[in-house]
Amino acid sequence: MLSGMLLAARFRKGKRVRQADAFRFLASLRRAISAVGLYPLDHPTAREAVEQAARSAAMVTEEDGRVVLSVVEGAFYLDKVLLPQASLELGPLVEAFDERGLSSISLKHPVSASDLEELAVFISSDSSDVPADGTIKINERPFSKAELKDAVRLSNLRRSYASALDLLRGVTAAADGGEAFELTDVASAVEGLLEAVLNQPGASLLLAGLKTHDEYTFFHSVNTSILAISLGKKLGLDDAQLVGLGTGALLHDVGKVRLLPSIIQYPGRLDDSQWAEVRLHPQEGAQAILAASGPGQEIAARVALEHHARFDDLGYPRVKGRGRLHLFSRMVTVCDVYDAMTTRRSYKRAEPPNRALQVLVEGVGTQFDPDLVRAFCHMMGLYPTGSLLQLSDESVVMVLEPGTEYPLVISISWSGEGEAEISDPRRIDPASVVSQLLPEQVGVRPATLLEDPHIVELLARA
Amino acid sequence: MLEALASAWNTLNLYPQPDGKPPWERSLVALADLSDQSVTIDVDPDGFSQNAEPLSIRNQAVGKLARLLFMHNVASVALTRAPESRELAAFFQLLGSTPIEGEDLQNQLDLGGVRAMRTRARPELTEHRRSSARVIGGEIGRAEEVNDAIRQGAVPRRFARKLIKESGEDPARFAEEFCAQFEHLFRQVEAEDWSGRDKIVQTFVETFAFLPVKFQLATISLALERRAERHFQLFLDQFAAYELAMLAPNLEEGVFPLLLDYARVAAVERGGTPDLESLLQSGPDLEGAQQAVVGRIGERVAGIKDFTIADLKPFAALRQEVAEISLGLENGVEVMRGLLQVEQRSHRVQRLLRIWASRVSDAVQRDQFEAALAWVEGLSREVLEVANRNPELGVGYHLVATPELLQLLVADLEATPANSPRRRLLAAIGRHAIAPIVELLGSEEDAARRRALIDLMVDLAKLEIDGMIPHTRDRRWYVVRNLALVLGKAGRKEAIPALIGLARHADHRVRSEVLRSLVALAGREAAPQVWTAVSDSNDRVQLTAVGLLPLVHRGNDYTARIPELLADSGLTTETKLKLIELLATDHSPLAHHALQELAERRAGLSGGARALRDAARSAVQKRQARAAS
Repeated sequence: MLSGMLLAARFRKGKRVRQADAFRFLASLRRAISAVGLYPLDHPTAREAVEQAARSAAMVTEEDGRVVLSVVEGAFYLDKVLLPQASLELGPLVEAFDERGLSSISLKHPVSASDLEELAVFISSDSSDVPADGTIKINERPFSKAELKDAVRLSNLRRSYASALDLLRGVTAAADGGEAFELTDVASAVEGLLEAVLNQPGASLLLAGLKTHDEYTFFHSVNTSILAISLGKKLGLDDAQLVGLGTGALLHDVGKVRLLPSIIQYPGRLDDSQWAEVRLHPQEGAQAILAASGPGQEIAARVALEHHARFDDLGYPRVKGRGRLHLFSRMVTVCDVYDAMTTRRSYKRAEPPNRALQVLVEGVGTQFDPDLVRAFCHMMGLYPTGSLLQLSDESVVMVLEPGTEYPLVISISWSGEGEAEISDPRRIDPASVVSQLLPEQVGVRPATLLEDPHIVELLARA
Repeated sequence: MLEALASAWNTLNLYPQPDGKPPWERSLVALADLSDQSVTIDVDPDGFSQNAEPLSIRNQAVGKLARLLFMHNVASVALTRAPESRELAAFFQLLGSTPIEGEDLQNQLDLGGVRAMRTRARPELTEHRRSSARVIGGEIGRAEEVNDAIRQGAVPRRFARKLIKESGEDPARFAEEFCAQFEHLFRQVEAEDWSGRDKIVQTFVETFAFLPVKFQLATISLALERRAERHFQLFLDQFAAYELAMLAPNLEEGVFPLLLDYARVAAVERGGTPDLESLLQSGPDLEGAQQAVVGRIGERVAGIKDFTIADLKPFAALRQEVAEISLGLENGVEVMRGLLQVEQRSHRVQRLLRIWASRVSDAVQRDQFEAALAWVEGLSREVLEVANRNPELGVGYHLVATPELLQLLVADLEATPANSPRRRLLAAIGRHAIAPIVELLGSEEDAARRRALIDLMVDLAKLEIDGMIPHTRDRRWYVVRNLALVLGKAGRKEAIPALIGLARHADHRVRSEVLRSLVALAGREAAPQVWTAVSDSNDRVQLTAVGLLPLVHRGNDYTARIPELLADSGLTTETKLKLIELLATDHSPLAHHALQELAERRAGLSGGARALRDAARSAVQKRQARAAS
């Protein structure tokens, strides 16, 4: 892992970096919109937010001088290139654009702070004042779907994923405010995920590798739900059971809404008092879900309560006289730990997928149900879908289909423009794997490769 | 204030239209007198307090009032002005309603136009709210150099290259500058900007991962030397055990002990796993370990082709479990049981009980009595084992046993089989159902339903006699009469003292019923009360008592006292006639002589006396006729 491998030869400032800059600009624009909505325009907080957005806009426009950010069918595009990560993580901003009738904003370098301020005010309120300096134009050059380069409609899978994310944001806000939330809405979102998992199992597992740090809990919960549903499907659960399982997995960490940022974002080991707070989240979540659930939905509360109990019942909270942990709880525990370990958390780096599987294997009988770990490992394979591997010939490949013997992979290399190029799939001998790489080392997020139609087709055939 | 409120509440319970009733009017006056003093009282589970001092009030209604307010999550009540009659009635009516999850009582009072009483809700446990600035985005308010580093660190490979270049590609110098910059930026972030600190650590940790090995070794060595410093501790803690162990073989001789020391401290003092220490001590072949891990995973899945549920041979236990998966309410009951066991915060327990009560009510309203019973039994069976939980449980049951819910449970009760879920539910709710059912019984006009309610009360009294007895002090004679009937039928001798106390009740109907019940329970030991009742001022009571005399005596050994009673002018003629009937059943010489004497009375008799003489004569004649035949 710590091979110090620098893919300098393959690194180009191209599409990937521009996408990252565009994401940062949109994120800073969202913050500016919030700031001008909360504070007077001459308030330091509002001014700083706008200036920050202007700096981000400078980074995204400096190379080409002018870019167009569009919203088409619920997704952001930079010029004609889809921004999958931004579309998922900044869903509320997409909605804000839609509400104000914005289909595109053209940015001209250097974007003035006053134009940005007016844009932020325009989006956040009923103002009809559009930016006047001329560095930002609204709806000047909306692209039609046919013109978009990666004109792939946001797939049902992504829509389901995005819907689940939005729902979780709402549920969390309600739980944080002590308000009730509708579990039926949660079940509907899970049904969307279920349909996606049933129709696109390979792509679902790839999308379950989507990671983000700022909204870790939301993405983690959706990923855990996808993994749990996939595992449940493997065990032959029926649809009603899968919805119950998926709902429990989606809400298993809702109790964390009560945790202070000083605990959630603490970049180190927690002390006893902090741990005591963390250990309350299963019961907090269970209580919130129990209050919201109707007949037949209580299973989600049980999963929330039990998901840290451990297979040997030495976890938390400790309940005297408790019988066997529910099957769904044990399943969610496995999926929860796997996704958590493969995501960068505030106190730990992300680990490669097969290291996470190792932790599961080493924990059978104590932390994890042996049979469920076995089934999970079989589902994920030695190197799960989306794993990035370095082979003995120094090539970098991504796993499409795990296989228990010869994984199906595609090679990833970089074009002169810094764009990822994908080879035809082939099977490899696991013995040729030298090391497993993290996405940051390779410079690609496997989940974003879902936007490549070729990948989608390969996954469908795999 | 409490006395006035309690008195008013009692009055409202007795008279749904309390206007004009003296206790109600007195309460309004008392509250009006207090209204300019800004009185505020705090609500506890069992009572009230003021300025942290408990208020000791003997009125039972005060305790009930406190519990109701507590169930509505009220922390304090204040009197803001003189209440109108309508306001006070609305206040009590809202208080008596089932608390609505998430609904503030004050909100309901406002909607109901109640302005004279102000309530304050109990605060949630955590009232932290992230500052608006943090919600907007932690970048705001951070030093620009911090934001700049975070931005650059978003592409860690590029940042690493930049830092290496700036250090002149000298590992030792790089390590110094890397650690200095990390420390400097970490300190630049404000203490409460947790997101910022997290991002700075992430920036430098991820950048470290892209360094060439010799730069990593130099940096990690310096970080280990400074491992006692908090920020370097955080830095080192980010790495997995195997990541640091991979570097170990290449560390300089003096640095390896530092790594080992860090591993031990991390394991022991900060609750980390001992993986790193064991890896370092075993001197592993880590590359081989990688393959071993893959091998172990492979073993786990070896032999499993693509399996389906129909072919879950490797997972026989799972297959069985999958076939028996429960999605039902037993999961909710299990969760409630667990939560009530582990939850230590009283306001949370209170909330759980409200959830529980709403589940029971909801199930009853849907005619799902089995479900309601499962919720009630699931709580009762297990949670009672939890120490000091009973007062709160009482609150929970009080929430469940509302008049509205009881009304649903007792509807068509007469047609409900004895062991039905509905009856079992009523029994399970037990003593908490008594008060509402007493009220229902008091207002029920249909005879058949009244009988069914009485039968239900009898069943409850058999289980919960202690909960029944206090209600015998109710001011409504018909309530007390019914309770006396119930106590007699229930057969619990614990009720005898209470019944004896009621033998002198102001209402004759009560006294009659009490007598019957006393005799049913106490048998001959009730004789003194029966004899006293024979001389009761009311003729009905007298008759009842006379009719009970044979039941409280062995044989006819009570008849010796009858002649004396016949001379008692306080007894009615009807009573005396009844006594003569009793005499007639006694074939002893004493009884015969008494009858004979009565029969031979002659002049100066009043109408009543004549009736007695005629009755005596008739009895004598019958006796003679029997003797002759």
